[in-house]
Amino acid sequence: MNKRLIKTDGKAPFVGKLMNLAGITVFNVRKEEDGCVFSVKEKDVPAVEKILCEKNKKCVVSEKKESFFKRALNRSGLWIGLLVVMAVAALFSRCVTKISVNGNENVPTEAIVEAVAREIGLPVMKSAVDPDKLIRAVCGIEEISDASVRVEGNTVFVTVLERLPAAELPHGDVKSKYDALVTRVIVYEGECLVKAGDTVKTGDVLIKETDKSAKGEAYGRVWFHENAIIPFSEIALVRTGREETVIYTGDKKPEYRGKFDLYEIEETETVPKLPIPLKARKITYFEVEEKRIEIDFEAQKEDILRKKFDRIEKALPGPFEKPKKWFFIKTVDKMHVLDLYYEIEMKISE
Amino acid sequence: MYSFYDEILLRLGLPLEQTTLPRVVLFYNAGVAVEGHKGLLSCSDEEIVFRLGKDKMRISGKGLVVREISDKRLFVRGAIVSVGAVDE
Repeated sequence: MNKRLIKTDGKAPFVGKLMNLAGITVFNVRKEEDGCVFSVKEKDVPAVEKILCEKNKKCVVSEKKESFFKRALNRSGLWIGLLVVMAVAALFSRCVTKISVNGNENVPTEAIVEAVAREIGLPVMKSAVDPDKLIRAVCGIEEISDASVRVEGNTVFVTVLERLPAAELPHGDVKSKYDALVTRVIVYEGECLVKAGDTVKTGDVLIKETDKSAKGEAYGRVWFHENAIIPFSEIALVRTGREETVIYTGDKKPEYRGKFDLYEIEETETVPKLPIPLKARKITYFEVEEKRIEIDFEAQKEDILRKKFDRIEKALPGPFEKPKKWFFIKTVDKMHVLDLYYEIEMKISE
Repeated sequence: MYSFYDEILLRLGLPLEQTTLPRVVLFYNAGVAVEGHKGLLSCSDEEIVFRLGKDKMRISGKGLVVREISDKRLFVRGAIVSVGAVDE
């Protein structure tokens, strides 16, 4: 239903009443300074014009408003533009314009994109993209072992699988690192040459390689040994009680010109009682003589054992649980001989 | 079967024959529909006065527009503040 806008100099209530008396429905009545504006159905326009003319009222009818579709049909530029846009969109939807790469960590993305672009050259029609050809091009890169290519929308998605670094396999036989008593052997590959209870020496083959490289672990009891010789007596330097003192200043230490053949030195800093502040050093020479003294082995035994076991433990490749340790004391002509043993179960294979 | 207006009359305790009474229906804050008016008397953005039988009625509010007026019906749209009779 088309409506026409009518402008008149009559007042809104007056016009409304006139139209209603004539059986005409009025829409959108709007008051204006010199009258009013309203709409009526297109078929009522001649009647409205006649009524207003009879009442000496001005009547201005707006131009006929064409429907949106009718107006749109007359716009050739719009239609041409629309067709061009549709053509471009259709062409664009059939083209590949982007390359997306994933799965690479070490190989740079640019290198893969370059390899793909070398084959197809962007932009390109989707039908011209040959996935097998692209896969061959991507796999041509040295560090890539496999690739897959799929085309979605305007993008070529390239998923690559990089070549793994070659595994470092042990070569040759598995040998023993220690002299040991074998307690257990686990063989993954190769031929086992020892069994639990066998004794092996350092460098002995535990697992021999066959057509495959030898792989496995061997455990055994290993003994670490230390010994100490403590004589009954020893010659020691003992102070006689005689001493000489020399005081000197400066950096140069004076030579000893005293009477002692054997002596010990003690050096301290001292401040002589002088009117000027002066720093000096005091050297005390103590006369000593050689004297044979008896060694109290029983008193020193614990201390010696502790030091020796500590030394063995420091030399071990790691801390071990439940180690066994023992020692033997042999008394010979003029001395005590101490043998210390440390036993642990540990991995002996290299 | 009763119409909406018949049911209102029943609930108001009025006889159903009084269907000739003018009707004013207010849609809160949206508009007013009037049936049985006797003519528009004044019209502005804030006030619309019309005759209703021997009386006059005033619709006041903001942005009032006479959307449609025919010999029987009047439709006014806008933010209605009040609808009431005009004292003469």
